Amino acid sequence: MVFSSLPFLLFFLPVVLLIDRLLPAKAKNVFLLIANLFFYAYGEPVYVLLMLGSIVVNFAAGILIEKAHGKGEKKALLIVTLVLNLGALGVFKYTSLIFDTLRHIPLFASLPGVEIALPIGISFYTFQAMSYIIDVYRGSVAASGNFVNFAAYISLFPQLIAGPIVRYSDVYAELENRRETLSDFAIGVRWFVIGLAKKVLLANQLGRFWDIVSSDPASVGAPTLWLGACAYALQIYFDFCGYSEMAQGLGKMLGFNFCVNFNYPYISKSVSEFWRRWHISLSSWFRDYVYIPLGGNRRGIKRQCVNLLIVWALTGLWHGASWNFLLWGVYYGILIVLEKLFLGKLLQKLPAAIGHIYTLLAVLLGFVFFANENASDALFYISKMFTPSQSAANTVLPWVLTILLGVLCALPLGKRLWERIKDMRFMPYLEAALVLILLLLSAAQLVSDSYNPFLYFRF
Amino acid sequence: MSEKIRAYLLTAVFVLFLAAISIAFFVIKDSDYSETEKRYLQQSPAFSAESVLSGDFTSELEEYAQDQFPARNFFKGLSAYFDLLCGRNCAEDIYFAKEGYLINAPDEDDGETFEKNLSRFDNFAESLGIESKLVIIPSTGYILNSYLPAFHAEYEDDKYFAEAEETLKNITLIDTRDALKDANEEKAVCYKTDHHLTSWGNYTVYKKILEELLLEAPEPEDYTIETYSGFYGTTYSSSGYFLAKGDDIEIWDKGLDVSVTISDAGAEEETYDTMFFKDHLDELDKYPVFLDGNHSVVKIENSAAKGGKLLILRDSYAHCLAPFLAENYSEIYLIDMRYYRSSVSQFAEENGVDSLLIVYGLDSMLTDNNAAWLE
Repeated sequence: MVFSSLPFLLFFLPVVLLIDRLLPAKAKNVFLLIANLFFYAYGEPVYVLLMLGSIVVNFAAGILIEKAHGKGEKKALLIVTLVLNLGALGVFKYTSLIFDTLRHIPLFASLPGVEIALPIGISFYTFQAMSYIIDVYRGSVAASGNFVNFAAYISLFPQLIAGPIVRYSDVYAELENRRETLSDFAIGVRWFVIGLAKKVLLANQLGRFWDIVSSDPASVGAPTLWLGACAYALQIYFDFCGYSEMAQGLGKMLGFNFCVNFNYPYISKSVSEFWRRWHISLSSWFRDYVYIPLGGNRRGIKRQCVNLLIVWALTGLWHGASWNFLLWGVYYGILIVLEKLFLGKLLQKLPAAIGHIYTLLAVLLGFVFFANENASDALFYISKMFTPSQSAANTVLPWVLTILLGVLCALPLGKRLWERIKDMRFMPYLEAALVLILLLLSAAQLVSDSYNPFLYFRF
Repeated sequence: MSEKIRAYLLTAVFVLFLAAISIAFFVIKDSDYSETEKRYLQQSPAFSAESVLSGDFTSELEEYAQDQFPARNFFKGLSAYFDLLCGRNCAEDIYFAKEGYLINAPDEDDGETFEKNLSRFDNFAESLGIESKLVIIPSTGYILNSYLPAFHAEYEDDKYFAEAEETLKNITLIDTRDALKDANEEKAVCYKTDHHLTSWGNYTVYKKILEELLLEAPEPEDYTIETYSGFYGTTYSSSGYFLAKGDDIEIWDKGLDVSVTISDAGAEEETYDTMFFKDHLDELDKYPVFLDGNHSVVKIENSAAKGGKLLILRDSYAHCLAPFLAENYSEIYLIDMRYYRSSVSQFAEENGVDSLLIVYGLDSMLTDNNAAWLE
């Protein structure tokens, strides 16, 4: 089930919020677990068993690692658990990519074609489970002794299918004892409604334009290709950020505090800054569990560059089992290495505008590789972007206002305005009115059968 | 204090909204059919292990929630008006044009259907070997070009008419483009909420056909014109602009003494003594008042007419046109290729028709392939 769908708003959310309020604190987690499993099974009636398997294995592994005597034993258990987690991810996410690639080698030419449907959210919950196991191994968090709480954490429906990647260490206290207050609920409403509007009113609409442009990049003309790439970059941002904010909002309503996952990435002055503002829970996961264990920046600049490239190659592949995602990751790895070596210092000396332009350009071109499974298609698209040509006004102009609205909403203007006026006396009323308007408009878009894709089926 | 008001207000708005839609959803009885959208609505899906595992259950549930959503028409309209506000008028399938005209965006040329239809018709006319004419009704957006919103896609009617002129060897193309544009200066030839031509528009087309036959059409004064208001046609239904005003629909009755026989595959033949089916005036979409809307075969007999027997291959644009022609032909056979699957040439031979008229809207010429059944 996805948040931006009518069954979620009509049936699931009202029932869950109502029952959660009625239940005593002791029963809340049991109910939450049931709700989570129902939420997941609605979309994945079979793979819910896989997720349950993952929960059982990681729960047991946590306890075993904590109780294990001696470093060697702990380490062995850690490795076994990580292999199991990554193994499941590998089998269900990467098998067909590996097979398809191996088949190019004559020795493996007869490998069968495999079609394994990717279990939704597996990359998110597997990463959560691994962060838990590693934290227990490091001793930075105590192993969970309560199966229901742990299972509710791994399967927590607000962030199950599209993040953020919430760490056990961040929520275990709230799992055991959380307070649901009215003011938190109201903050949750604000997050959720804004997230929903970002997804439904902005991302879906921008996606319609991107679909038009990307279906025929050969003939639409350079200006349209540029606007198309902008529309795609904005679509991905509002879609992803929208889901994260809906997750945060739902978390708040249920008494959880999740981290902020997107912090206005498009105002960045460098690619490194962009990634500190984009999908923060993923980049910090890779920083804490891959980059730093590899030595981070503590073993000299050469090693640091290698580490960065490894991390970004993995980050790319995390986004989907296709080589274009690897390419996309390595592309960012190279840019970030260059920034570490000299580009970053250079950019700091230059006017800020240069940094902005460089970052936006890098991100825009990066998304062309992200969007096209074949590098040759991406290169074709980019070459057309830089070949002067004309565009028909009537393919572009109906979308200009939508793109402009997207640009405005991607900047922190609204936030700054809000901070100025939020204490004015009429604000609570205005805010409630805005929330109602956004709810009505979002519901209207969902009802009228327009375009509503789920973009994370590859993650 | 203000924090508290804020928390209460936001919570109240959200909770009441969710409660309202979900309670209304369960309380309001599901409807089977949507008159505005002219389609059957999804009913509550049956739950079974099989349908859940195959994913049918969830997709049907999504559709069910969408179709039976409380105040669905209001929400659909809200979304349409929001799109309009965001400048996406010309990104939609139906343009919100000046003076309340809701106009279909031009159909895409797939590069073959139009051409194929022309040659299907031409070959058919050749095989029949009788006098044949083709009327292509131009698109509303072409006729009402000056009404269109900025950034609309181009209506390439001129290109298609030139192509038809060039391709057709055995059929005379009756070009109504200028006649309709001129007539529109006097009175509307297009409906605001429907893609068909008004009775005035059809009268204009009729006059043009008679001109071709060197016959004189009756004057508008010769008809008894009845006007009915509150006609909401298909562009209204599919656009969602629920605030749009309805059209007037006119019945131009010459008081002909006709007998109309309607037959459909698998249904019994029925005969009526009128071409105007006024029961349909009670519906939102009143267009089927003409010849009862879509049918496979309709025969109009007028024993007082001087002319012979005419076969009309048609789409819905002819529903309103045929009653005018009934004045001039003793027998008119209307065949709709979307429903008719037998040999048309055999039909023509059996009924002794002596001329052929094809009436298609440009939209069907571009998208409908049922003429492939023509033999």
